[in-house]
Amino acid sequence: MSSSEKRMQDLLYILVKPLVNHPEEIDITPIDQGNTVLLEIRVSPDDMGKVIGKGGRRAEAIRTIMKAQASRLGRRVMVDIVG
Amino acid sequence: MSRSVEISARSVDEAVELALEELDASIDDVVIEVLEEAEGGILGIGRRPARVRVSVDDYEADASADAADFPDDFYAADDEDGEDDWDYEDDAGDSREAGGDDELTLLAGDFVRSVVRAMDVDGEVTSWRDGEHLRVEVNGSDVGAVIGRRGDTLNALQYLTSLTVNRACEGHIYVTVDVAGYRARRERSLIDLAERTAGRVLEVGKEYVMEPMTAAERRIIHTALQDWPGIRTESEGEEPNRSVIIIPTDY
Repeated sequence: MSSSEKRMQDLLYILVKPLVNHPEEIDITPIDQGNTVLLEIRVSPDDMGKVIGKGGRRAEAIRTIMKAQASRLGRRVMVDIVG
Repeated sequence: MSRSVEISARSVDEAVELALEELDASIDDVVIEVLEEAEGGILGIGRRPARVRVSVDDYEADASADAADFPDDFYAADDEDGEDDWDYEDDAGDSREAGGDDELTLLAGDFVRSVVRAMDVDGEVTSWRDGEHLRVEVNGSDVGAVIGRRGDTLNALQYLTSLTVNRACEGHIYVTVDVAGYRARRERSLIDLAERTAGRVLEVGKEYVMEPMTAAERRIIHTALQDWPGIRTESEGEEPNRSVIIIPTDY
């Protein structure tokens, strides 16, 4: 795994961990798609709503910060929350 | 736990929208009371704003603290007033070691610090309590990435920091995150822009639609121009592309 993928994975974990009841069930898989990194994040089914938020507002905030990091790393990022 | 705010604005819709922004709530989760309907007046004379009270029950909080109204100066500069209100309950000076609520101050600082570090930004993070208000500030020479376009990144970070803090405590703590004084500067430049644009509207006699802004930013514009004779302001469009429109009242 490249260092930028590792950094993205770390930041996503930092952002999601405080929101969930079961941090031990957070599982993040980075998938290299050329310049874009797709981060698949799995959380406990109980925690899906806590990560997505009403109207997707939490997910949107998480993606906004992930994009800011990605642009510093010269990459693009997509965050896919998987149930 | 329930929280409520009372907001005045040009219309009931707008007041509700501003209240939702302040409460971090969606319209499905709140109770709205219309305290006063707006009255149009004639050519702006005798106009009265709409006033609403919006209450939300927080499903996440453990419940016990009563409603805490948010301070009106959320986006205002952190002026000398704010400093006077600091919580000095720990006379030793370092309130961070006082435990209890101050763990939240540490938590907020640690959260922002770890995000900033993960973004590879070299910034110094400080956090402190200002009564029920918890403030976090990031300073450094290369911190623009934490602000983002029109504050997008900063607003997202503030939102997540607020969720992090409020999940860890029983009451509601109001959290502000600022980067290198951005919020105060943005407010000043919005006021300048509002005044310049209003001057132009008066000169030309035609209404003008400003660039899309967040509810908090639009509120700064409405407030800056509320006492200007000869113009009035409204918001139009749907989020996130809602804009203030400055309208001459006598054309």
